[in-house]
Amino acid sequence: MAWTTPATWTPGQVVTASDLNTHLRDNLNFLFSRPNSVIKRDNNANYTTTSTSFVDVDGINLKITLTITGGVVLLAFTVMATSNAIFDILIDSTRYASGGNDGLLATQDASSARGPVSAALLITGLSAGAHTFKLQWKAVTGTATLYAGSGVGNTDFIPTLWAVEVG
Amino acid sequence: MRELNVSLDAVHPAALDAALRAVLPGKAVGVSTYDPARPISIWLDDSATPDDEASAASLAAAHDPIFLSADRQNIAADGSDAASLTVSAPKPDAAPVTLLVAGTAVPVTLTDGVGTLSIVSADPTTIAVSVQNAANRSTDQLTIEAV
Repeated sequence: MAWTTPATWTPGQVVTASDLNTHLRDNLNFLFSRPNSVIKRDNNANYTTTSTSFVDVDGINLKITLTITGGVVLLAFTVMATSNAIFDILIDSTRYASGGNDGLLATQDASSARGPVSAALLITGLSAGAHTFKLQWKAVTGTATLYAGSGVGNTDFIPTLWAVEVG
Repeated sequence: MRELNVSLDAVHPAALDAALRAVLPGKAVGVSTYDPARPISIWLDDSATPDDEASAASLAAAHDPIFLSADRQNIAADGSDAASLTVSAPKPDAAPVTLLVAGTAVPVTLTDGVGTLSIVSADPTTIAVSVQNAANRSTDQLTIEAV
């Protein structure tokens, strides 16, 4: 159900059933179920990278494409990763935190072998149409690991990525 | 950034990364793995040439990973208490494996790609274990403390 820009009503205008269905019913339905996508990725194996530049964690399975009407998307991700990993979100072809070489954030506790990484982003200024959001990462040094359902005890974590149009 | 996809039976990411950076300095960016059934990604700088891609593909084909693990990191320095090392070389036609145990070369017999080695010490010491000729095979290093 697509969004229709609400009409501006004028005094004396006759409102038809079609008008109400389009501008009231359909728009309310749209607002109640805006474009959204949720990924809970059980990869049955961990992801690793030694890349010292940002690359997709998984360009096939940790990627969301939303076709939006407005220009604002709320996106979040949660992962468990080794303490040498740094994360960002690629929006179409631009990293969200491209102003910094080290992206959005790193694994929380550098003093331990692994830690949680979670972020929520309000992404504004998007154009109407299709947009792609991908989780990216790089290693500070050595081999970074993102746990993704390997089945190994104490590291059998599931990464999540979700996005919803909010305005 | 350029991506080269290569199918490998097993990968030691750090070892392959080091081999790539040694041969393609400034052009090798890293390696990503996804799951055993999916090709790995070799990331190269945009300046990489087709010859560089061919070199990277050759290194990946020659990659012969070795993984080391130990059941414990501390043993009693009594000449009998032992740590058990497990050596895994999962490539089907893996080359022979020799470890360096406290600087001494120790060949390891592999059965179906897996071998074991016991470490004992009669004296208190730190025993370093690594792979001899480790290039493009392993970066694993273990330390066993005999106390």
